[in-house]
Amino acid sequence: MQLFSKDRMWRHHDLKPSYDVVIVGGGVHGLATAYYLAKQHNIRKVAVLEKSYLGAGASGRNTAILRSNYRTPEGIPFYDASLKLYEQISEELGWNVLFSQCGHLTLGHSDSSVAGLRVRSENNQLLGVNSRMIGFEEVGKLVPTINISREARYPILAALYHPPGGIIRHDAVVWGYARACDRMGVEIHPFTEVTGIDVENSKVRHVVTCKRRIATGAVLNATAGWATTISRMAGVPLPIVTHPLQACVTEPLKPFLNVVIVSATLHVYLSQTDKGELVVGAEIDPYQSYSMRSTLPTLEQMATYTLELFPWLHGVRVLRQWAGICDMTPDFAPIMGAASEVSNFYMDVGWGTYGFKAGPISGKCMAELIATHTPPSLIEPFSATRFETGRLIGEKAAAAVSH
Amino acid sequence: MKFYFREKIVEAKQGDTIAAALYRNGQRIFSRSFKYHRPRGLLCVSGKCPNCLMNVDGVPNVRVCITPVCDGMKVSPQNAFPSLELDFLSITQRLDWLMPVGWYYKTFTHRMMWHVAEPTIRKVAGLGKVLSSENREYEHIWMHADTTVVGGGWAGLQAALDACGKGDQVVLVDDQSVLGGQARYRKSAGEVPADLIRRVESHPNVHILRDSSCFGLYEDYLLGILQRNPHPGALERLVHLRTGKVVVATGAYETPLLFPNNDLPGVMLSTGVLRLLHLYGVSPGKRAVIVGSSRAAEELSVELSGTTIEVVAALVPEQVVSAIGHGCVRGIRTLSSVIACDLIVVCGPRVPDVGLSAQAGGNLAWSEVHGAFLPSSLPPQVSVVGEANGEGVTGVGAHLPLSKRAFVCFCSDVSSQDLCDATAEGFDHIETLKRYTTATMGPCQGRMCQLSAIGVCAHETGRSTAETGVTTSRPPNPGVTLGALAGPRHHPIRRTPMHYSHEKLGAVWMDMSDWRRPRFYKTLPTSEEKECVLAEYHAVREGVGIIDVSTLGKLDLRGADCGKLLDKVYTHRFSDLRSGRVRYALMCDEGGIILDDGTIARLNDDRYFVTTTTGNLEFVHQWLEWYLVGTAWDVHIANVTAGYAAINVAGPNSRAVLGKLTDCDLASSAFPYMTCREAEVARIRVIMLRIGFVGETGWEIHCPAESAESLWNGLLQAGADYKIRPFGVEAQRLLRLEKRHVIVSVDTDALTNPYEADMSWAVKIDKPDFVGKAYLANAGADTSRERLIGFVLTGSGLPADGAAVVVDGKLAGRVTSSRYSPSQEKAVGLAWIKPAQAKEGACIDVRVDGKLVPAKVTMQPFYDPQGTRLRL
Amino acid sequence: MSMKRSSLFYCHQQSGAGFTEHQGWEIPAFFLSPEKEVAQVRDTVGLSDQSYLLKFDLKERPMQGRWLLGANHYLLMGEPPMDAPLGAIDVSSVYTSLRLAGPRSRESLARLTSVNLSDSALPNLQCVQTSVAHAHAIVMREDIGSTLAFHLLISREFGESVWESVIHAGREFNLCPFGLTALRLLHN
Repeated sequence: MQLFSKDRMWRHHDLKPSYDVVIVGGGVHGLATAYYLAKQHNIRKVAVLEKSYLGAGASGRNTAILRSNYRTPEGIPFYDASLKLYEQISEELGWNVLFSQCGHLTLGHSDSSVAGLRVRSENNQLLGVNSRMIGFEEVGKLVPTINISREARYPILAALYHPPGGIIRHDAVVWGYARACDRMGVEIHPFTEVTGIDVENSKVRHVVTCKRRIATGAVLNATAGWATTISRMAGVPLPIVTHPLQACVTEPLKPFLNVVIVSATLHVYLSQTDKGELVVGAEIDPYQSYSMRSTLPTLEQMATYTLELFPWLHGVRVLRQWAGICDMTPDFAPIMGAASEVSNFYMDVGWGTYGFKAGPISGKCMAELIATHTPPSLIEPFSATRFETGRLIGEKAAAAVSH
Repeated sequence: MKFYFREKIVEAKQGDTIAAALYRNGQRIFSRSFKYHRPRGLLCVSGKCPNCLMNVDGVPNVRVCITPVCDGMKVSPQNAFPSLELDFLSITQRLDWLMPVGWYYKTFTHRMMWHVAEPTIRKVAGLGKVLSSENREYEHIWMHADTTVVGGGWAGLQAALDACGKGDQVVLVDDQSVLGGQARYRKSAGEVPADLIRRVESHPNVHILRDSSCFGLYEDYLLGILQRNPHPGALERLVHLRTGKVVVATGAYETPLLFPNNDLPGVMLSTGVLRLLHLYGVSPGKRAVIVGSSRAAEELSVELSGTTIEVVAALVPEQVVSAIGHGCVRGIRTLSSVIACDLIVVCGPRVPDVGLSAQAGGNLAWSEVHGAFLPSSLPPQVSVVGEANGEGVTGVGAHLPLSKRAFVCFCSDVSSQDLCDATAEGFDHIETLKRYTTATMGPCQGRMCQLSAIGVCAHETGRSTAETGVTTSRPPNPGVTLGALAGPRHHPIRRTPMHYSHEKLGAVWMDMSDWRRPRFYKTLPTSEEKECVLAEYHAVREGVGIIDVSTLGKLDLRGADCGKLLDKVYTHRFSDLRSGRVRYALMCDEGGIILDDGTIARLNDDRYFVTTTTGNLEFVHQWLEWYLVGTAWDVHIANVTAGYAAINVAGPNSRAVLGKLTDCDLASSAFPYMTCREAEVARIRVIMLRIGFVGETGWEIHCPAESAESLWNGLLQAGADYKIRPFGVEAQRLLRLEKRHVIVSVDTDALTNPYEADMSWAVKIDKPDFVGKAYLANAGADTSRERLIGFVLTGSGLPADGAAVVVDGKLAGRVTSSRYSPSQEKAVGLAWIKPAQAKEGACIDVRVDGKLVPAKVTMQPFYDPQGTRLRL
Repeated sequence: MSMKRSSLFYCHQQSGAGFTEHQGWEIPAFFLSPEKEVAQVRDTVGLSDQSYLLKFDLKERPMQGRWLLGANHYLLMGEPPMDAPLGAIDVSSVYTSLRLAGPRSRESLARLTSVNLSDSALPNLQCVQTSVAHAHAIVMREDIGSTLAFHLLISREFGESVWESVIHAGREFNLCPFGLTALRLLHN
């Protein structure tokens, strides 16, 4: 019985001289793509290369919030497809990823933010996503411990309530996909850094790693924070800038918060894990950097806004803060597709602060693209060509304030 | 002193911590562990382990072994039901075979099962509960030093004096109230000369922060320090200390040994025993067995001689089979016998406290000789001294028995067997091992368990300790309360100069990016918002109204080349604007996207008065300064937003009212629409702009802030005969909506260009060069994008701002602003829709409360489309 | 014509200030009593409202009373009446101008701003731009005789919020407001 098994989750391999597909990045996107390549397209000669330990990047640092209440007709069906895959994922992988579908509240503290939430509510409903506007009294009923006083500095005016949203154990998703990939013959290679990409006649021929050079039929850039550095190796420019994003966690408390809270005005979002810890996240730092060093002002800001919402938590201790780096695109939507400069160089990047929730559907779509050379319609709007045609996707309001 | 434990009185001595007093009074079990609810007692007695977490005065997870007693404190246990001595949930220990490491990943894989199981798991998890919601005072302070020494033991005191000797301003941080470090209770740490402490305390260049824990070393040598009880008016103080150099003299702390039942109450670290004895005069036990290397055991025997503790045996770790007892130690089983005792003193490995240097980017390397990770490289300006640098720390080789009852992580009940199993499952890197087992992720953040966890991992993977490495050290360590981090929590409110006038007039307030503005005026206690707004509306349309628009950004530009700068940065021309004239100003970025709008008035040859939207002033000011750089143009810009109050007097009677207060000729022949004058109104020197956001005859008067109330009241007085009313933001929104006047960032968003927003008239594309020209030159021709249109609802209802526009049953756009228009007697609004419907008379549906209501598209203003009333 | 009022007028009224007229401004002459206020300032710390001071924004170095804000950017500040220098933009109304004075003024201010206020970092008659109580401020050190003192220039709309924050920050030292009479006495 699985409970008592001590089998390795994924086996160790030496790098082979060639593969059909090399995936750079061992996070949820890279692993999901490998999973679907093997499962739906029977492409198993795949190597997933990860620079550090699996999930060391954004997949291990995010605040693990899932939702599909986005703003645009392009974004909403895409994220909703992902959420639906997440609902099945534990059964599919035979691995409990602890998806707590507890509901998601986005609070609006000003007229303009409430109007923005309403646009999302309307668009969600018209496109079949369970999402609606609620007043501050109903917020108080859903979260009895939250501060809905009219005397607060920034009183809650209304909120967008999205029952299918929730939180998940992000590491477990990575491990679950990795195990499933391994069982289908996909090779997982942690501590294997890509140092170069050989391109000949507008096609990738080899990937150079810190261990050896490997020949490949296709490369997928599924990195986050490093996307531009990998793409540059293949000669593909990207309109991406990188910003740090910080979060922190408190000591465990008995359960008091059974829904995810996001405040667009206060730039803070929080949830309580099954272990009882409060996980708090912030907006991206306002400067570009690759540093993953935590800062004190951001920690103070997270604490300040948490107390605006839950003043009685003042005696609760923060145990740890950490940071990750986010690849930001001009329109807060990802870049997915084949590069126009190098036809077998595929990209699933630019995921900013909204990548983890899109893991499963991105994997499915990218696998289809790599296997059939045709992008599924769901991801066509995210092609890199949109920056030339000006067809940007207006997700800033729904994506910023990260989660 | 007296305090309450479980609502019963407990006596305490001066200087006691809660734990010391409780222990002296016979309490042995202090908490129950997280997973198995195993009884836990005092272990480290220094705030580094999770064993003594209790609720104090409503605050959960308090480490009572370092919390001084205050008279009247209320202390209660947490996470133990019905009591610490008998906890029903300890039955989970019997089920531990059903809960191997990572068990919850391997069970409940079916959605429904997890849905049922999760709430129970959540309830059982968690440690403490917040019981009281009383607000406390937390202070923030900033300090600066040349050298900061963290740690007031021997090494730190010496380092402080050395730095003073070099002329540095020194701050010494120590987490106790008395200096001296471990020497206060550990003889083998060496004696600190009393003279040394005296010299440091009396040195003029040394500032000492006592009861202060340094929890983080951040970028640019910023230290985060938490000071407890700094003065009666504050519970905690967060010190931000910016320093030139950092000396880490934090010493080394002791960690537990690994053997079955090593977590029983009565198993204590040797330093914990010594602290209880020497700092609080509490005897930890009568019959003790020492477990440790022969040298350490011998040293400790010497320390304990002369105390009330009888050492009945000294064992090396390899000899120990397990500790014995239920709820407290009764004995210890060795390879050959069972020794009765009530105290097991563990001489555990000493870990140099180097977290700060690691946070600063320093590297750590394993030293076999020291049996510890020591700094191998340090950032400049950071040095590590004393035991923190390994002095006096000797490695003895670890004994790591694999057992389900030998606990490595006390916070999460992770045993050495668990770590072994996890490694076998492939979690063989210290970081993945940590995340899978949750070892080092609890309240102690690895202090007690990191070394053993690394040891087990190394052993199971066949790697060396050096190769296995450590997990990343992150602040805040020790943990800091949300209250201390947030500090005084003052959120400034920006008030206009007429703020209190509005209060007196019954203003109902709203917030607009930190500014307080009147949403409407509640003239009677019983009035509803709707009727007040309507009354204000009618006053403006038929009589006269005044509104406080002081929040508008204002920039005073002087110099011969102002016109050049404005031409460059705005889409319209301003260099040819004649003195005394006003023009609408639209600003775009390089991609042709609208950034801001406002008006620009030319007051004389070399003076322009620029207004911006409330929220964008700082940005526009920076933008102008940015484009000025390198041009050598004669332009001087001052932000005068707060210096001028601004009042919009509007309505058919505005001229009559103003006429009473000024000699300025207000007739349209002398003072036409879109012109400006400097004049005296109510004997105050003002700038008057004849513009009309709300669509009636009116003036925007800018007057010095210190005289604003005077002017406001003067207008109200002068207008009394004309039934003048103050009007608020809601009425203004309605009035401008009828005129189809766009509000940037309400009706436009982060992707809007002027052509889509129907503002092509504001773009002078023939200008030689301006920001956005390259993109805008082509944008006008693109007819495929959404457009901003007006609509009139033909059905009933009122769409909300943000409502969806639907065409042929499909999402086709969104409403940005929508109100009931008294002049049209219908709901009207602005919306973005697809180009196919962006023509006069097109039919669309708008969602109102989830139902579709028909509407007609119009490209004209709803009220006075010719703009005649503005020019009256 | 009514007298000019600073952003703190109602705040002063609430504190029970006794008002007087000064250069067309209605400002507090005292709060408790001028003598008590002087003693308070000399002993620990006090806070006063000097918003009536004239301020000019300049691109060229003026003769005296100047404060350096940046490259080719000066602030001229002084007691009214004063002529505006050539090329200056009058920004007198833009700022609420506070005076924090007393031996504990530095420590009080250290609770509200991260900037280094020590004698070496901010000697007498030097200024620094920073944030004070979450509002942008120009902090100008100008001692009153031998008494340590600072001007805090903040954008007028933040006046009341910052005043409240300063009073709260100085509570450990019993910080309290002082009026024009006490200020004059301190200068003698």
